[in-house]
Amino acid sequence: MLWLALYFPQLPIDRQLIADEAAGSLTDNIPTGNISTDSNPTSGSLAPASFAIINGATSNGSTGNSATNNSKKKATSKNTKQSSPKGPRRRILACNKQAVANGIRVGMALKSAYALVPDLVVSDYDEACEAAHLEQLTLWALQYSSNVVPEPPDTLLIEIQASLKLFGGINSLLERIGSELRAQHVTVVPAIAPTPAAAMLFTRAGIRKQIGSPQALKTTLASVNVAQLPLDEFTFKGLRQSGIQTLGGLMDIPPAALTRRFGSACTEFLYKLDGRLPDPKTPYKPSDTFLLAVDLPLEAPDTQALIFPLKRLLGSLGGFLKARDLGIRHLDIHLYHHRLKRHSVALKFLDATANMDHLLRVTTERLDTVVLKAPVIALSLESAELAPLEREGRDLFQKSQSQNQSIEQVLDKLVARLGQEAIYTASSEEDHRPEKASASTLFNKRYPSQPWPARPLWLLKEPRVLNEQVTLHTLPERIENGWWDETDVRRDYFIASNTQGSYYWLYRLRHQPDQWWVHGLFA
Amino acid sequence: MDPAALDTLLKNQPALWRGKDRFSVEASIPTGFGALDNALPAGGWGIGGVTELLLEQHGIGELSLLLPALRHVVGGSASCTRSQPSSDSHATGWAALVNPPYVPYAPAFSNAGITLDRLLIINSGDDINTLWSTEQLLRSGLFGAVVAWVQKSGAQRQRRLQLAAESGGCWAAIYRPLHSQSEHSPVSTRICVTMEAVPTAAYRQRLTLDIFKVRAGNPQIVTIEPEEFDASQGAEWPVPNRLAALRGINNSVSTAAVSTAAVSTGSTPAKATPTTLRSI
Repeated sequence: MLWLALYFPQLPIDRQLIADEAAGSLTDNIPTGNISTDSNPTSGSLAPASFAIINGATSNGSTGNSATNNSKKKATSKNTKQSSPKGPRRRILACNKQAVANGIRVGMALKSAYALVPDLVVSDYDEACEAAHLEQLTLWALQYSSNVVPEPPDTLLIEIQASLKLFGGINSLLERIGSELRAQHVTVVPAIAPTPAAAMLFTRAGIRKQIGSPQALKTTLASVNVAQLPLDEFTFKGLRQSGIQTLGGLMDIPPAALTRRFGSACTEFLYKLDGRLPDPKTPYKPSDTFLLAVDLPLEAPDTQALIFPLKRLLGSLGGFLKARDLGIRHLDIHLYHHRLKRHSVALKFLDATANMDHLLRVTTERLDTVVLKAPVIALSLESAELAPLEREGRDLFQKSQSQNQSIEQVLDKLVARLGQEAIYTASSEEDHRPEKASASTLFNKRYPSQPWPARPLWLLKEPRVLNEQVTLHTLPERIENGWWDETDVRRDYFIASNTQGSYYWLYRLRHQPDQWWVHGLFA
Repeated sequence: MDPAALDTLLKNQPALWRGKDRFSVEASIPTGFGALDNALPAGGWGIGGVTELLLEQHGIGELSLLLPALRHVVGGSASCTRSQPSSDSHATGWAALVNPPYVPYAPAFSNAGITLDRLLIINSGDDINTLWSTEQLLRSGLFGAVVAWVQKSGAQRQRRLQLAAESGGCWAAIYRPLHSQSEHSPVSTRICVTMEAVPTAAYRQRLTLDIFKVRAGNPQIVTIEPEEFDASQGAEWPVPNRLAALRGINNSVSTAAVSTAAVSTGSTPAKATPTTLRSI
């Protein structure tokens, strides 16, 4: 077993980025606020210089927390050693890079922060939002492994041993995960260890090492400061009093003595760290249907601004489909407005698809045609119909290089823009009434019908009255049919040409022989 | 000097670039008309190119002109007449009609031997959507032929189509109104389609194709005679005298009655015809 732990230290801020992106309508290279270590791979390419553009403020996107719910956050956040569980003082829980540059630190009182940066943008910490974001990331991670364990509030555990071969080794897997997270503008600290507890410990402690062997695990564990361990206050006190600084010192203590001093929970935790004790984790199981919503921190005025949050949601949908081994055939996008009823956009696919690039293309194409009645405040994706994927064997020797799209993909794109009714194939029916002899279907495989007498290539949707001189060329072809339903047809058809040489398909009604109608053109 | 020898001599000069060479090896879809194949440098409708067909009005046989090519692309059998329906259609590619001005009538297409399952019809509505859809289809690389009807376009848009056809390896035929002949259009082939009645055969027309622009070729005028031209859309028209002969009716009366019967919305001539016809 090899566990990859992904720790998202900036989850509340990363969520805010939806708004920044939407407001700025910038598609790439949006600077993320980032207080994690500088060697963080996700923060390397970001340029803080352009940051001020977004809202016209010198610092931006800092997330404060309201005192009412910060106690919960504090318990899990290792760095915020706040000591005012019930006090009304508001403190900074997380802030972005720009804010750090201006002197704001995590744990600082809100008033001090305002004193430093008067136009600091503050929003309340929302536990539900963070949980939703973690769930979204969990779904996304399902495409890399079937064994994904979310560790609330801000860590994901992914078992990657079984996925290494598929993704071409550990480095390419990490690179892929990193680039996808970068595209989602999520800050991440990765760590790899053979046990889930150790991976968790390393990622929270910021030890970004790939530890595969038990020997390396032992030496790395030994160097970890005991302050990083998720132990209770009593144990910490005991450790301080005993002068134990590192985990190595703690592990040297014989287990019996350890249990006597700090209780069995501490010993068990140490044993789980190095794998002497099993540490079973329940993998995340996706639900039967996909429904994921995201609140936009800022209202989106047009559909263009929805693309970035949609990309995040589609990433999760991709993981979900991979985990369930299904494709999507009918996807609903719900757009929520203030006060107005929600607007739903239905995307139907000819073939169940799990190709996220294709989905994104179709979705953006479809959203382009949507005219918003009001700004969008929230967005959700719902899978209305899932279906098993049809897989085609690939040719070893590709016959045609240019055929990189399937016909279904091309048609999906057209349907998304023009509507379902606009695209069809004609098929000839076993009915002699001219209107009923041609039907509009899409891929309705039929056996070739019996040959018809001369028929025009063009049929007029509605027959029109003939109002010019024509010359008849044929004897009448009588069509009498359909007495059993409302379209009773009793007509005599002729082929005629006008003076310019266009050939018409004419008819007259049997009971009204003076009136001539044009029904088709021989093009 | 022998022209062939001169040709090889020139070919061996790597520094010499000749305009014709670029297109001479191009793949093509046979048009089904010998004269037209000879007139086009690719030996047919050039794959990877756009052919503009300019015409004044519909219903002069402009679609019948493309039927052999469409049949070639979608792989129907040409012998699908009333005697033997196509049993094995070896479908090869896709074809599409984008924004047709009328309803493409399935029986006529199946009479012409076209596999209907492979012929997509797209009612795109306005010109913007038509051009967009055409471009998507051309780019996909799946389609052998895309036929579109466009009212207003521009050089820029036509160039997009030409590039899309090149990248997708597809042939596109675009019908445009005759007055756009004066507009510049960077497509590979432009043809004016006109029709004239043939005096000898009262119910057939002769199609005149004025190829006024063609890449790597010379402008010329091609006429397609009524004998080659399959205006009857695959089925035999009930030719009056033959029909009459079959039914054993007085030949002269029926021919005279039918082929000269002039009908109009006015009452007097129209009345004459029905009575004559009813008597047969």
